[in-house]
Amino acid sequence: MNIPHLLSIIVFTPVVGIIVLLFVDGKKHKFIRWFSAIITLIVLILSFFVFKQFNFSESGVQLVEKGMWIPQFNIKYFLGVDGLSLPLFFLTALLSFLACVGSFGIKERVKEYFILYLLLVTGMLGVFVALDMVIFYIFWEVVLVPMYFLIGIWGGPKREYAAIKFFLYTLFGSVVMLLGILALYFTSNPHTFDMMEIIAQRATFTRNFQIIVWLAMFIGFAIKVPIFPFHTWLPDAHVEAPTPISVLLAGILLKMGGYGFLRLSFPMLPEASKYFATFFAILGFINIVYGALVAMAQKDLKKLIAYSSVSHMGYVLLGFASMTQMGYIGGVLQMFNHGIITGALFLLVGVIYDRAHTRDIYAFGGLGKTMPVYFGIMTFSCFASLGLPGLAGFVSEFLCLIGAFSVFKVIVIASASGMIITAAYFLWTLQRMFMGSENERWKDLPDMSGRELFTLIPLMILMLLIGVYPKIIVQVMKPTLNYLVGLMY
Amino acid sequence: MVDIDFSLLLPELILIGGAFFIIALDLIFRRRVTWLLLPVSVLIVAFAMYVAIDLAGTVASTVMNTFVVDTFSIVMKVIIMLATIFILMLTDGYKPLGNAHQGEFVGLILLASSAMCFMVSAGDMVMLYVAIEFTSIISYILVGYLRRNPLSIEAGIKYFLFGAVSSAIMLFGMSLLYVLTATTNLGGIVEGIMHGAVNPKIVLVSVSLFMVGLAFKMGAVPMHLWVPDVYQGAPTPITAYISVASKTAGVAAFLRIAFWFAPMLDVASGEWVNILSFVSMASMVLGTVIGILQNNLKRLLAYSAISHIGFIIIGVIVGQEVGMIAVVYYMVAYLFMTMGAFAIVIMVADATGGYELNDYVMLSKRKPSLALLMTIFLISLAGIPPTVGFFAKFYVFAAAIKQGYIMLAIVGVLASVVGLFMYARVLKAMYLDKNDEIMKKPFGAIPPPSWAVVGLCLLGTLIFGVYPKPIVEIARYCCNLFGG
Repeated sequence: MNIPHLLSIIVFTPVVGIIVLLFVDGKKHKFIRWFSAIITLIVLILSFFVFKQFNFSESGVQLVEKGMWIPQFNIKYFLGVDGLSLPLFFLTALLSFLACVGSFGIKERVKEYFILYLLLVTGMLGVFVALDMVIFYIFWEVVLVPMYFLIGIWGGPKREYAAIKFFLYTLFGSVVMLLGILALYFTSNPHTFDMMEIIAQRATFTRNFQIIVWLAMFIGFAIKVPIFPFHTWLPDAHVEAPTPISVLLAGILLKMGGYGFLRLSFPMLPEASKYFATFFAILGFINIVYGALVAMAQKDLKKLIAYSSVSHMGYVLLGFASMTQMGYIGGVLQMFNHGIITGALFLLVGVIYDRAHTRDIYAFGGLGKTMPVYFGIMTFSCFASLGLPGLAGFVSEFLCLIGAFSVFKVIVIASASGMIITAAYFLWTLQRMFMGSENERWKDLPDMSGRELFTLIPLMILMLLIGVYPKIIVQVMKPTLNYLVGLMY
Repeated sequence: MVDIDFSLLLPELILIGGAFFIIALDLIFRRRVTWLLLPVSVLIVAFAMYVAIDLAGTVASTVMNTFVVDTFSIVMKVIIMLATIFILMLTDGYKPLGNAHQGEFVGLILLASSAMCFMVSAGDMVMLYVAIEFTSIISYILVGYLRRNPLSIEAGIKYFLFGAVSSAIMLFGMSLLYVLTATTNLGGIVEGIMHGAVNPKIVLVSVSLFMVGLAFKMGAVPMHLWVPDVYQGAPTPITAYISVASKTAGVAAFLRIAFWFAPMLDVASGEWVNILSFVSMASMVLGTVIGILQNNLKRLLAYSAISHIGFIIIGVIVGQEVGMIAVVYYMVAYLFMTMGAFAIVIMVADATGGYELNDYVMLSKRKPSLALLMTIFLISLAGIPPTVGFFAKFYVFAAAIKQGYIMLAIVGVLASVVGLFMYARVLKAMYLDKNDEIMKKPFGAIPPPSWAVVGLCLLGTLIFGVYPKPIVEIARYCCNLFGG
């Protein structure tokens, strides 16, 4: 059974939820929570149908929905998925649901929270299926507004600063990107915002033009990824945001940047991308090593994980810069893995923060005895993150490094040191928190609740599954990524 | 005997007649009909609007080519009249005005509207000058209407002084053009300059001086100094009126002259574009940067208005079809979002008695619907999708990029980011800030006509934000059926 307009239905289901919620009494917290969870669950279930209708052997976009929107400017309503967007689309649906369940702990202004949350979900889903650059840009921007409020209202002590910093930083990036998009539009002939058509016309763009547009888009995407030195908004936003929002920030929003590179910059501007490839790889190296070193110096657990994100996204850059099949697969897989692993880690930070009301790593000690289940899951996730073979993180980091090694030998060897630093700070963190003498203060901390386990177990299953059998996800993206690599030459 | 085609002048004549009718009604029946004045005036404007729309499609001029009717002028007149209707509805809930002299107040608004319509259609320097003076003199009175409020009087006097100086400068520019070409007709001036061997520097100087008067009406830098004080001091509905209607009229006249004069200004090569680019960039940057420092909502919206004029001028600089589409779309967007924002400012001021940012603290708790609506309008003003303000900026940037005005586009982009910060301060006050004291203050009732205005503005902001096609289509008609 094929559902027509499936992608539109998925993307706009949360909007229906928002409209219903607007008319619900704000005091019915329980109803609002469950209703939002059900909406995101519907999104998740429908995203499984996308897999069912998706042909894994095809490289082009599928489930296409295309219609004219603003004919005078040739702006189309054009949605579709391919092997690049489908894993990220699914990741969005999954994390949206889990983080929504994780949001049940929100006590203040519940109605507003879930309305903004659902708006955020629509924006994120839309970014990954939009194939017209104007629609893409609109979804990209729609993400910003709810995020500003979600951080600004429900965040930590420095929330207002973090929220406005995030808002201004990313808006700056996206408007510069808009200029790049407009330049592409007016250079293409006939003028179009259709990504596929622009890719088809890529040979007609001159080198200098490509370089200018590439840089404009680079600013937009680099801020989102974030690439050093544009990363300074990230620690603030991640640390101040409430737990479920940190999950989405790290899990989805960072992916929007990486996705943008592979969807727009690289295939549309191949010459400029090759011109900047080494530069890109060096930035990847800086991200890996700098992120890891700064993470090691952190006392705040959440900040540590925020900086580990910077480090992990470096592998994605390295993989993309290689422009090899292996590097591309590694990069996209790394984005997916980082989504589930870091999502889990942020949820875990939330678990301990809800109980102890501190995230200071040094404040803990001997937690392994009081919270054995928590200890187990934390260890599992940290190992996945540091790249233990058999778990998800290893596969993708390995692929990124192997893919890039054929092109940038020195940079890859230098970057590999990042893996050691990563292992060091995660192991050290586990040691400081869970080993050693038991701290009297935390003696009565309860172990994990059923709801918390419910949000974490699916992520753990995925980590293990991808770790031992990566083909399950690689087969989805392989034809498309092969095709995208082919576009570069 | 001058041949006059009255059918083309009908909308303006209806407005003038309506104004006198309202004033007469008030004079004769006094207090007994006060309640009737606003509904009747709304009907009059609506009727004039209907007549104006009925003229759509004609391209003609009358009264010896001094009055031009084309699709562009009709669209601009519709915007002005819609703004007038909104203002009249908002006046109903505006308490400081009371019931005193309502007939005069409403009558003056109708007269001002007709003057603005003349300004939009002016095809001759004399007509333009008279229309601008007509608009200005009524505006001075309206701005200073709250006679017991010193701020209002100050605003009125300031507006008057600035207006008088700028119209004198404009007159000087006009007289130079007359000396050069021996005609006051705008079309004739272009012909005279093109055919005579005139020093391009003199043309440039005289046109620049001429445009000063319009820059004053639009509130563009460097003629912006009156804007914040007048916006703050004027009765708020009049602030909104000046901000939307008067500005639309100014932009319309400005665009018409810039488009008509384009061939003769090409003689002065890039100089004219440089001057306009400076005005545009200075308006965008100054409006947003200084706007950040404002704590009074009316002043904040004043600086926001200055920055928006900068964006609109980009469209005028670019010219051609893309530029025209950008300007027309921007004016439509500007009508809905600015009017919506001002409507809420009026409501909040009526309910709490203040225009300061502090009065907006915790509005999300005290009146969630108002806070949500204000958020939508502010987001639209900041140019974030899916609102009409996004497409307004989008078309402006598109126009700039298309014709290679990269510098303008970049400054525009930076100004949008700074602008967001300006608007985010209001969002922060409404949603993020906490103040337990303010929760105890009562929140007054809101009159239904104000809700209607906000509702219409909301519809305009959202519908044209996701479905901009009709406006773009209309804007293209404006370009195809542009007189001259």
